[in-house]
Amino acid sequence: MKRNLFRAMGTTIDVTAPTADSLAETHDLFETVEATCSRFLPDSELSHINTAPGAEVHLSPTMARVMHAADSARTITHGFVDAGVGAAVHEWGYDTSFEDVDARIDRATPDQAPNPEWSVTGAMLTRSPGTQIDLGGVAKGWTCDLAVDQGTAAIVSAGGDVRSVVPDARVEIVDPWGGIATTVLLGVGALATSSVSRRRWRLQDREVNHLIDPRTMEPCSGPVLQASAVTATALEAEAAAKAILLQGADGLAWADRQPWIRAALVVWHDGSVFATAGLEMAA
Amino acid sequence: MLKRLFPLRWAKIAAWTGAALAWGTTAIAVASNTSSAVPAEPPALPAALEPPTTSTTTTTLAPVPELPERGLVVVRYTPVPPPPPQVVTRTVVVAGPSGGGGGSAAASAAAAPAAPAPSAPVQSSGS
Repeated sequence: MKRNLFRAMGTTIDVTAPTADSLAETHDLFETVEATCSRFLPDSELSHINTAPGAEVHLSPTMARVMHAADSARTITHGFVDAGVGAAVHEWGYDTSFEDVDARIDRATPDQAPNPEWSVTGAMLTRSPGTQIDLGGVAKGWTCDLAVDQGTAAIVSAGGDVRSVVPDARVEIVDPWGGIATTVLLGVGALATSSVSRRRWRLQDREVNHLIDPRTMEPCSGPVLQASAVTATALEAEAAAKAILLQGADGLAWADRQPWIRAALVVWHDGSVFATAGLEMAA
Repeated sequence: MLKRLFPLRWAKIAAWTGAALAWGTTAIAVASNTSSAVPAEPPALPAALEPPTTSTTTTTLAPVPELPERGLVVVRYTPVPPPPPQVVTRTVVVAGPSGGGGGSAAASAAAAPAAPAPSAPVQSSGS
């Protein structure tokens, strides 16, 4: 097995693959999806979609597949993960690659209408006026899954989203303090972690983060600093982790009721770590 | 002298008893007034001298998660202070020989992290 780290989609990608060629293929795959789905690249397809007039936009095959993945994420999380919050993410200050986000003390507090409306049918995207798409997390998870499903990678980790087909794969969950919260015996499956303690900045006198709650169109706030979920695919794990985080104190119980979520873990605001009973951890 | 004022023995007894009763009743009354005294209400301050009214808003976060039906595992319960916010810094893009710019260039211009040992566990640290 070969292993390599590279930068893409604003984060570090960690790939374990059978050969050097498959490592290179995986690298190319991430760059291709980023070039299509990044809202920070002015020439990406997503940037054109978000600035296109009219309600309907025709999508490329890759974009159509990612948008259907986003639609799936919205459905399984009961609307907690919604790619239509792009305008709110932008207005709250996350309008450039995170490396370039700076303190934004002079901006007014945004006021976005909740519950953005959009739908995708075949290769056609329909959205209400003002709705912008943000595919950040969805695109990462979807690309991890594609790399593993097409056989070019055995384990892929993209900024916290991990997909594995290695039976004895272990994943260390790093807490917001940089310590190891626990080590999960993942095996074949996926694990994703979403956190509001990393990508955060100040807007006037308020500390905000990148995770927008579609119910309020405001940044996530609550007792949970970080959430992880174990599922079958990285797309599901990414969506589950965000949905748990957004639901605060109710998130872990909600995860326990979802048949597609194998296990979940949260890091509490005081440093405590709680998990559902199904989480397999190294002794 | 006492014999002149109270020539009869019974009259002396009655006089001393009366004096003792009067003294005792007075002492009890004084003690009772002292213990049940209500402190006098201070006179109202002029409006300009009244202390300002203060209100405190506190945010209460849940102490633990809602209990999942299949059980809650406490992996760690060692409360520590919340983490400080991540310091956000602006990345300076230095164009290489092949040029480039913009957001993706900023990302790719960053020094590539060293490849980990093949046996090192994958980490999930949140996005």
